[in-house]
Amino acid sequence: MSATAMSLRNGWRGLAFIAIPVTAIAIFLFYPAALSIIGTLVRPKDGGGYTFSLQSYVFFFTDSYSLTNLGRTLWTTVVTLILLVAVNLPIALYMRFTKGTLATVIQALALFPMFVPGIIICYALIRYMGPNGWLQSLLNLVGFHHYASPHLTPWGPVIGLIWDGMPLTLLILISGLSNISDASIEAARDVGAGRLRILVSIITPEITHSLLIVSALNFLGIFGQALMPFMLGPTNPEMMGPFMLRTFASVRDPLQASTQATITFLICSLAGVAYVRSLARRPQEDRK
Amino acid sequence: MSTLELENVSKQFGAVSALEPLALRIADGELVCLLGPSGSGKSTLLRIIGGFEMPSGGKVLIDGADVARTPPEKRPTAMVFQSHALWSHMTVEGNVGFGLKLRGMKKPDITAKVGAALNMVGLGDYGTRHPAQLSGGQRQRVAIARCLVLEPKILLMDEPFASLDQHLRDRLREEVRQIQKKLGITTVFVTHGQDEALSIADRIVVMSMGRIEQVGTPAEIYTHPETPFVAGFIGDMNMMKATVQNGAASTGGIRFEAPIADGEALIAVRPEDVTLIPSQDGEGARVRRIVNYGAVLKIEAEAADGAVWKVQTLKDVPVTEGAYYRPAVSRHIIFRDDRAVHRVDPS
Ligand SMILES: Nc1ncnc2c1ncn2[C@@H]1O[C@H](COP(=O)(O)OP(=O)(O)O)[C@@H](O)[C@H]1O
Ligand SMILES: [Mg+2]
Repeated sequence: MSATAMSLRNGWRGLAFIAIPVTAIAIFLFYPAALSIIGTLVRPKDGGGYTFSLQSYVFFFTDSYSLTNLGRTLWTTVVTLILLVAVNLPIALYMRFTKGTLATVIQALALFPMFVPGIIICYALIRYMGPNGWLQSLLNLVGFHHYASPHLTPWGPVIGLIWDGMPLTLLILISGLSNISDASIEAARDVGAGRLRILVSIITPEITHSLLIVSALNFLGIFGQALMPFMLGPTNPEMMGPFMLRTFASVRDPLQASTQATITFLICSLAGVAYVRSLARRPQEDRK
Repeated sequence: MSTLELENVSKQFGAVSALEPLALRIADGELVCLLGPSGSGKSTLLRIIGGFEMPSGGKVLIDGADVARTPPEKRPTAMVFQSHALWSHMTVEGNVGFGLKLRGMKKPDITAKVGAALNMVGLGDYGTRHPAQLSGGQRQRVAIARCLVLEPKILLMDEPFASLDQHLRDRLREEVRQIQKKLGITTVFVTHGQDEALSIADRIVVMSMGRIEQVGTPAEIYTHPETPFVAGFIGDMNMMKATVQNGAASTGGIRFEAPIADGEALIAVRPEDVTLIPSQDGEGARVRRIVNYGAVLKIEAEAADGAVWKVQTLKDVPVTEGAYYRPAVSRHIIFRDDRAVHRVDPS
C-alpha cells in the first residue's frame, strides 16, 4: 500500500474518532449559540416575515447602564488579572528558585482554592469580609472601628475572583518557570547580571508564553463569570454575568440578554484568539 | 597575565563532603583539565572558581586577589555550561552581546566585538538566528563566544561537549584548544573523558572522591601514575595483586623485581608494555581472545595462576587464539598503601 493511501486511511480513521464529540459540540453548543446570535440580528417584522436589525445593539451601546456594566466588567477583569499575576508571580518565582519545606507549604496554600467549590468561597468571603463579619469583629477587638466592608463594592468580586483564579495561574506560571534552566540563569549572572536584571531581561521574556496563557484563560474565566459576582450579592453597576442573568430571568427581556451575551462572547473571543495564537506559536519556539 | 591559586579549598553540602581541603596553582595561559569519574567533585570545584558555590573554607586567588566570596557577576571568570544555557528569546547576537550591554558599551562597539567573537567560533553568519534554530554543537560555540567576548581572566568549561557525538566533540575540542592558545587565556576544563584530557590539557588534575589524586602533564599522568586510582583510571592497565618476598614478586607467570619490604603489593603494567613470546603448549599464558582495532590488536592471555594479562601489540605481530605464550614486561610500577613505591622504566 502506498504511503498516501495509508495516511488517507489514517486520516479517515482520525476523523471517525473525533466525529462523535464534534457532532455533539455542534448540535448542543454551536447550533443553539448561532441561533441566539442570529436571533439578535434577524427580528420578526410586525406584518409577518423577518428583517435584519441592529436595534438591540444600538440600544446596548446607547444605554448608559449597559455601558457602565460593560466598563465595570472590563475594569474587574483587568484589575483581577493584574493582581493575579502580581500575587502569583512572586510565589511562583520563590517556588522555582527555592527548595525546602516552606516552598511546599506555600504551594499547598496557593493550590488549596482549587479544591473548594466557588459557592463555598463566596459564602466564606461574605462571612469573613462582610458587614459584621469575622474580619470586622477581629478589627473591633484590636480597637479598629473604621472597617468598611469591600463586600458590595467593586472590590468584592475582585477579591473573590482572585481566590478563584489563584491555583490555575500559579500552576501555569510554575510550569513556565520550570522551563528555564538553572544554567541559563547562572549564565546570566556569569556575564554580570544582578537579580533584578535577570528578572527583567531573562526570566520575564522567557515566560511570555505562560503570561499570555494566564492572561487569556483568566480573561475568559473572569469576563464571563456569573456565579461569583452573583453570589457575592447585588451591586450597581454589575458585571456582565449577573447583568445577563437578571435581564433574562427578572427583567424577562431575552433579546437584550442575548445581545449582552453576544457582546460578551465577541470580547471573549478576542482573548480566545490570543490564546490559540500563542498555543500555535509554541511548537516552533520549543523546537530544540 | 592571569593566574589562579586555590588554597585549602573545601566544600560540604550538609553532611556530604564534596571536596576535601585541596590546593592547586594554575599558571597564566595554561589549560588545565579536571579529570575524574562522575561525583568526584569536578563541577563543584569549577563552580567554586566561577563563584556559583561558596567554598566551605579556603581561598580562591585570581592574580593574587581572593575572590572566594565574590558573586559570579563580579568575578573575572566566564563559564561554558554543559548545555541549555543560552537564552532562547534572544538571537545569537543578543546572547553574545548581553554581557557587553550590561557593561554599558556603545551599540557599534558591541556589534563589532560580537561579530569578532562569532567569527572566532566559526558562526559569523549566524548572528540573527535564534538558539532553537542551531544544532547542539553550534549552541556550544555560541556559549563559548559569549564567554570570550567578555575577555575574562579565567575561562571555565564544565563538560561543554559531553552531549555531542564523538566526532563533533573531537573537532570542537581541537578548536577550543586552538582558540585558547591563540588568546593565551587561562582555562579550566572539566571532563570525565581521559582522551579529552590527554589530548588538550597542558596539565591534568585527576580527582577522585573530592580529592586531588595527582597533578601532572598528560605524559606524566600516563607513565608515572602516583596512585593505583590514577593508574587504573587513565588508559588501560593490568593491575595484579602480588606478595613481595625477598625483593621480588611473582604473578601471572612473571617474576617482578620489587626491592621493597615483604608484604602485599599491587603491580601495574600497561598492555602495550607486555610482549608475548611463543612457547610450548601448557607453558606460560594461553591467548583467550584477540580483538582487532585496526592499527593494534588487543589480546587477553590467561596465565597458569588464573591471572589475565591485557596485551596490546601492533597488528602485524603474529598471535594465535588458543596458543601459549610467555609474557614479558618491559615497564612496571609497584604500589603499596595506595602510593607508587617502585618503578621500573628502562626508557
Ligand atoms: N548542590 C548540591 N547539593 C548536595 N550535594 C551536591 C550538590 N552538588 C554536588 N553535590 C555532591 O557533591 C559531590 C560532587 O559532585 P560534582 O562536583 O557534581 O561531581 P562531578 O562534577 O565530578 O560529577 C557528589 O557527591 C554530589 O552528589
Ligand atoms: Mg559534573
